[in-house]
Amino acid sequence: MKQFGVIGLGRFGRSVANALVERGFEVLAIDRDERCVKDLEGKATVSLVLNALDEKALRDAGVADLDCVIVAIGDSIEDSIMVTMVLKSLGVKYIVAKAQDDLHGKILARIGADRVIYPERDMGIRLAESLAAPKIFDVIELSTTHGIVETPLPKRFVGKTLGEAKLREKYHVSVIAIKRKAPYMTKEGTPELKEEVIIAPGADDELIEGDVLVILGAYTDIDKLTGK
Amino acid sequence: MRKERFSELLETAEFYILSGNFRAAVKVLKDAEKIQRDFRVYYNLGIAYEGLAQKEDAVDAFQAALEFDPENEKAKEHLRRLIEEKL
Repeated sequence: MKQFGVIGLGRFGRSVANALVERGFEVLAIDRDERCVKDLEGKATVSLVLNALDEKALRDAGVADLDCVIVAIGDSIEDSIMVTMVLKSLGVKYIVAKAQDDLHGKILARIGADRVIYPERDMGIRLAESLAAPKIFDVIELSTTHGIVETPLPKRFVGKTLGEAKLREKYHVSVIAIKRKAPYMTKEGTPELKEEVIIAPGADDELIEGDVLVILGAYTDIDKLTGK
Repeated sequence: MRKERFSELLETAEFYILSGNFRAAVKVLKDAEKIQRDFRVYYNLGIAYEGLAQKEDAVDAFQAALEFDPENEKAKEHLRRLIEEKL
């Protein structure tokens, strides 16, 4: 089973640690502030009050053997950089570091963070995108370039089968599901809708106006398909 | 006469909705709206727009329906879900 470390238990660090625990992973949670550590006691597999700048203390805690360590220090750019360097020198396999801005992110990448994340910026961008482009209902990010996106069926495909639409050949995307509102009559005799989800649709499935496609692919290809 | 025509249009619209032809239902309901505005016209319009994934139009229609029957639970439920999905 994968073992994770989370260093810095502010709001972001805590929610990452909690989410990993909920998904059944072992989590070592570290902060130098006892109050933050207390909040996670009994939830994280191990929670420690520790100064993460202390290389020996980290080594003794077994941080070097973890599969992935997330540096979630939010209040001090300097500490986040120093801790990332310490983790690197300990030989941690995969380091994810939270950056506050571009410069901070560049430094983290330069000193060896395997992945740099910008939670505030990304949330802001995602919110702006969802407000600016109501066509895209929801996005599950798989990487910075690929994701799963829900989008209304573009008009030009209405009435075609999935095979005829040739989405894979032309746009290099896969339709993993079709969501559709199917009508029925209630007992009172009024029309009503229920959502139908066709999982892994086949080439013969017809695309109907009002369908919502759940598409897996590169964002650039999905944008071409949706005409964004 | 107008009343008969109105009922006929509503029945046609409901038939279109139930056969999944939401676009045709909208067209017929727009004609019905010119004769009379009531809960059933706007509720069905909301259903048809929702079927077409035109969420904003569906929201407008269910809101109009609730003006005629403010306590209608079904219309309220559709509206609540649509607003949630839009966020």
